[in-house]
Amino acid sequence: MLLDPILHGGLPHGASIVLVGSPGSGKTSFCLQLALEATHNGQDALYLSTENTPSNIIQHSRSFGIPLGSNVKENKIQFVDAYSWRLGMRKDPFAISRISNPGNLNEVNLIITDQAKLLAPGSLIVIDSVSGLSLSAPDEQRIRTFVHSLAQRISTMDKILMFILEDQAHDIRLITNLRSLVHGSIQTKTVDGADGCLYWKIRMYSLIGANHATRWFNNLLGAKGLTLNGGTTDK
Amino acid sequence: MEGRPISELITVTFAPKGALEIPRGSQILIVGPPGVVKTTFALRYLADRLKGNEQAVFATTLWSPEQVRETISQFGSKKLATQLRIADGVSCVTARPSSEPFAFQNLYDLNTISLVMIQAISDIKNGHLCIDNLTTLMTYSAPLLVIKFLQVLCARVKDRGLTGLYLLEDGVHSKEVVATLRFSVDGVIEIHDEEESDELIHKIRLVHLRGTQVDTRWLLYNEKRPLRRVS
Repeated sequence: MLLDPILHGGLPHGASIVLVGSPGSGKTSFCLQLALEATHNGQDALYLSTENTPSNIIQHSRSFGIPLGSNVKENKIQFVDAYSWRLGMRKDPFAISRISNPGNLNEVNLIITDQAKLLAPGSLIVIDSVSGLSLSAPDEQRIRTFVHSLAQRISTMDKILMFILEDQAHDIRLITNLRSLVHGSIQTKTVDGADGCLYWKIRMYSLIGANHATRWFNNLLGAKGLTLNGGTTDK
Repeated sequence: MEGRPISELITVTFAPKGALEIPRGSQILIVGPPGVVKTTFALRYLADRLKGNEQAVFATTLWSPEQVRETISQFGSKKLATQLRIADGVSCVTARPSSEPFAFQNLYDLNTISLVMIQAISDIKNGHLCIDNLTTLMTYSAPLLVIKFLQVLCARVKDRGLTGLYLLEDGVHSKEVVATLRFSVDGVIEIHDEEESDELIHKIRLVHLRGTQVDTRWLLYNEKRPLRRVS
């Protein structure tokens, strides 16, 4: 499993995680890989996207070696479309639900909670991204209460919840605050390699009650999707 | 964007001719220090597309339409200047009537600017759009308003299958604004300048592009020559 090098057995049911990273550091790919693995375990995934249509995400994931297609058709991976409001009333063919106004965080909260009830225990729910929602709801207080209440509700349902946040797009105090409202946080970043290319790195920053590695891992894209690899020494 | 072959999306390469290949329908932010490189790079990119009989719209808020036309014709023939469609955001500031069919009435009413842009691309399929630049718009409107304007415009430009290039000055805006803009688009091109033996050299690279694995190495940019790798 993807997370095994970091955390044996994967994320615990009921955990809510904040995933923070700069644009293009592999946050979405990481979550799509987790979603695909959830379906291998007989669980489901629910994916809310503010920055792309479900059709595009499915297409991109295929080019990354993360084939979601059949899982989407069988409703094992479900998409909530929080992008297409920009185009008017259009509905994406792969979306089970559509957010008409991402600034209305109550609507987002209700749709996610309602859909989450139908998923198997241990299923993955991804909010990609909180930063996208916050553009339409710039009041930070509402972002805080949204993250807190959604995390609490999903936790009682034994599902895993992932909030994606764009690094540097927010006041550092907001990110720290959101981290404190959930069970754990994961960081991603890009680093310049010696060959002049950018590389994806990922690490588990914290997770309540879990024994996990905290070093940076390489987040590698290959023909079979994402894999995490080594890093140097632990501790 | 639907139903397009993946092969087209993953061929983000630097073509031998020296032009940056950007997949159709991508919305790209070009970030770089103040100077002329961003604008000339964008015009050169559009010139290459115009030569391939594609259409292009250039929204200018800094250079006059005449300057834009003169510059683009340097990358080919005079014909390019007439082929390029310009959305004029300069005449309104200089209080002179614009000779362009598409012109902004002012730079602070983002709704009208949006409408003019959509009108300018309304009859274009698979073309290219460039806005030079977002920094000027942000001197007239709050950054968050410009970001929301870009969010909706990008979605509509992409939906029509057009490629969008959005220019942004580096070192002017807060890091929160830059980071928000960076995630609001599909990909980012960075331009850097540095001193090298008494000469200012420009480097350019594609940092990321959604849904694709990109070559992130720096390329040397020189107006007269094709792009080449930094050795």
